[in-house]
Amino acid sequence: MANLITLAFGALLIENVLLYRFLGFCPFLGVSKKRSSAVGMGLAVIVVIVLATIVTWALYHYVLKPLNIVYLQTLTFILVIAALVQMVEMFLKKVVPPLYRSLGIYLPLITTNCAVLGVASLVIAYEYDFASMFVFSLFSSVGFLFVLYIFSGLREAMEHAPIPKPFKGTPIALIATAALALIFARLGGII
Amino acid sequence: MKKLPYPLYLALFLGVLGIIAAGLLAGINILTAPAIKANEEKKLAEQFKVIEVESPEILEVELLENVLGAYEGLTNGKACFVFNVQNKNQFLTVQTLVVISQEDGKILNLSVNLPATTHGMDSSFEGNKFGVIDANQDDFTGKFVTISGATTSSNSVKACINLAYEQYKGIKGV
Amino acid sequence: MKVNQKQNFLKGLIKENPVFVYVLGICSILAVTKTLESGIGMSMAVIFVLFFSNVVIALIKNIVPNDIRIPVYIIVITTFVSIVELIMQAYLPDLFDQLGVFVALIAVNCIILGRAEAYASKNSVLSSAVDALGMGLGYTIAICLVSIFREVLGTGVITIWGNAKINLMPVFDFFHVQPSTFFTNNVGAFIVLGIVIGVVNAIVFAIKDKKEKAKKEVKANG
Repeated sequence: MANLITLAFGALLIENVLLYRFLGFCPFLGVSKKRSSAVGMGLAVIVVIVLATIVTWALYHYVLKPLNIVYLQTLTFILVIAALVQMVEMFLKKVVPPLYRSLGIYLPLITTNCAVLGVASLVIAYEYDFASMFVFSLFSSVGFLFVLYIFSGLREAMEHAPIPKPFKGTPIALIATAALALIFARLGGII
Repeated sequence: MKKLPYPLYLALFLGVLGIIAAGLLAGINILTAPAIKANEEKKLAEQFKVIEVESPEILEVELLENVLGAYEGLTNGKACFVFNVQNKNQFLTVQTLVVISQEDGKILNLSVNLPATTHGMDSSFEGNKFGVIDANQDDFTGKFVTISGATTSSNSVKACINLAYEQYKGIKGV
Repeated sequence: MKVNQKQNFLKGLIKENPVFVYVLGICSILAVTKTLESGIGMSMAVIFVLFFSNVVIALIKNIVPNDIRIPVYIIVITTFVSIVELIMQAYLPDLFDQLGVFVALIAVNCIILGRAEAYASKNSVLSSAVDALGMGLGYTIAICLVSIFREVLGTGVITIWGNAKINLMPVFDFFHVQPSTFFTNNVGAFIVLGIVIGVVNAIVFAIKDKKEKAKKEVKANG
């Protein structure tokens, strides 16, 4: 149990998906401009990552490995993720239409979010068992939401700062992310 | 030919495409499989070189769980066993080759294969995948008590060494 | 409509550089630019996938039903990514270990899916092939720029391939400074990439302003 807690802490803060593993950056730069859209996106990503990781983990251990077709891993994983995102889209459209509308194009783009395929692949590479896989995917995706939220707050404030023209947008966002990463890196000595 | 209903046509298109893709990948997999296997054997041979064991021969014994292989050979003139052991925890999988002297069970040499990113042992392994670390062996039980730098990975290495020692005891019937 | 292939190729390098202009493929750049060797290896893999998927998608663009075009593109792209994975594991195992999970992640690299949707699905096979090469080269330029800075400032040595290294330590000694591993860890990655994009933007804006000024002068005088 203590190991799972350490794993959770590590996945959330120390080996954070965005700041340490560099996964999930494209939507990060696009969606983090407002706090409300950041929260919506983050929650959707958590649902997709946890569901997708469970399904792909099961697919790997009960189908791909026993049948010795491990080379189909990337292909089947992506198709599973794409199908899941479609289902989440349809679910949101019916049950929570305002959220569906506010996410707009970013919802289908979760399919190409490196974090989803990344976490699913890492769980296989690290050879986690079910409990560790669940904890890892849940807290990694919560880490994504966490950083996304902090960052959108930062960006809202940066809107009013006098930034030289070449650095507006992506460059200053990356440098601000560096500052965040530095803070999170200091937590590394705890475990 | 009667026109197919649209959703069925879509599904069929995707299905056929998927089968073509899977077939292509299966073909490439068959072509590359021998090369991939050869690479793994080369890695093991390199690890053996690091620990200075000459002419390792595979030992036919019952292996404990997580012991990947047992060999016997000569190191610096002494007869020894080499155990290929792995230890998995949530953070990483560590694979080590442990050289144990056949007569007195002392750990003679050790090489560690760590995954690409790991806590704690980065400084000693910059660029090299295999390395030898300092350790203190408890003279009475032959079990490893400390390894310099008590981090996640060194605990894994300690577990590997202890497992290798268990395997040694199993062979010797101690 | 005749396409000027030379323009088609060159646009990927600067005017429509996938990294500096479209801001795509950032995840992979941050992760694989620790050494120039892994950067070059990654860009070769990306060019391979980009080229073949653009060609195949341009070939089948007329028979793909519009409603399922995205899943079809994904299947095509991922197949080539898996081919690269297998080939790398077999013949370039050290590179595969260095790149790790990011080889598989080429499948969700926004550049490749983006070009498939924006270009290969609407243009001829030849144009799509040339576009892929141009975009791929633009990506390579971006990766090499960032890797060189990170590796030099981080370790003082540039690893071109395997044991072919350029040792720049004498330059460091001349200025009495030391390389710092700050640049090869994750914080350094963000900073170097941010600064490189900012500087490239600055240069591009300066050139644009100059051209605008020249145009205005011609108008005023003409």
